[in-house]
Amino acid sequence: MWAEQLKGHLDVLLLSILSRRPAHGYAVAETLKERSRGAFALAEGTLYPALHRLEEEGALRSRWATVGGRRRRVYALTRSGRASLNREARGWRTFAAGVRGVLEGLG
Amino acid sequence: MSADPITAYLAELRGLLRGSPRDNGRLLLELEAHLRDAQATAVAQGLVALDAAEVAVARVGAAATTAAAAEANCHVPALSLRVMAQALRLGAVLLVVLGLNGLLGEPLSWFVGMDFFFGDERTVAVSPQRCAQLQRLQPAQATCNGALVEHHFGEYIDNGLLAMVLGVVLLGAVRAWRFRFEPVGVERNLLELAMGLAAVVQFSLLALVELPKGLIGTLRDPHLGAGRSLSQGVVCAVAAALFGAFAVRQARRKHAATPSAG
Repeated sequence: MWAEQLKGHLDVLLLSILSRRPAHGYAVAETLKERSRGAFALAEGTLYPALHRLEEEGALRSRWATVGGRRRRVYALTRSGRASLNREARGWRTFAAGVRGVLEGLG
Repeated sequence: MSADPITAYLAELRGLLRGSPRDNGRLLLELEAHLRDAQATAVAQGLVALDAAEVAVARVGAAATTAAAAEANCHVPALSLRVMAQALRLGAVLLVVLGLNGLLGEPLSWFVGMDFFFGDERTVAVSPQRCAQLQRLQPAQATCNGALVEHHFGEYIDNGLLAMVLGVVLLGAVRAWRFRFEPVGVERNLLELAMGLAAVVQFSLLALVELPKGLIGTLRDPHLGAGRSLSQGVVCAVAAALFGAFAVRQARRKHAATPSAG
């Protein structure tokens, strides 16, 4: 559900999830599903290229770690990622407030 | 075909990925952990392992979708850079082969003597100054020409070692670069095939030049330095044969990969 709409906003959602604590891809997918109450059920395989791109852009850093007996790549937000998250979140709130204002005007 | 949906999914994805070996390997490792976690979650919810694996595969989505998302991240190095990497590889292989040839001279000399490699130096005229210098360097040799033979043979071995080390370092550097940056796929296979064929031509030509010279010289007199050419010719012929086999294997692999690559 909402997979198409999610495409343009996936980066900010991933940064937001990782701003709480470092996590591996599966934990990120689970948190995304849980916090969106299942609304953002995207193909989870596409999370990894997005995480890799964010890492390449310097918003995330990662390292291999053994979690629960399995080797996983754990991602953490960088300072630049946090700045990017704050900027994107501010923009999103402004956009959402605008949309809400217009929709409420309809009611 | 694998009965495990997760293994089958990963194999399908591996065939579709077009990133560098490093990026592909990392993605496959991460996805495998993801799929096993999703499977474990589904098992904990009461599904049997096989059904749980199918649920996990459904969660990650089609392999083609994941491969397309990964491909969007790929930064393919310019073709000129990839060709240059293959040219460096070819040069590095030449250094390794010639270096190996030089190093083989040492054990060979135990059986056939240094004259097999540098016996022709025994007839070279040496100035008194040069003679004194050579005898300082090779005090065990009674004659100037004996010292000259031993000196040049030592250089031959040392240069072989240096070429080998340089070649191995260069090969390692190119390999690391290709692992990190060069995407897998038809272009990579074709470049490897071209490099293999270039190596066959390079070593065949060297063997064709050196082998007859070495053979004729050795048959005439095995103590007149024809061993250098003979040993180089043999090593180059072996290298040409090895690269020929490598090129055939690459061509077969490329042919086998063609139907699924499309």
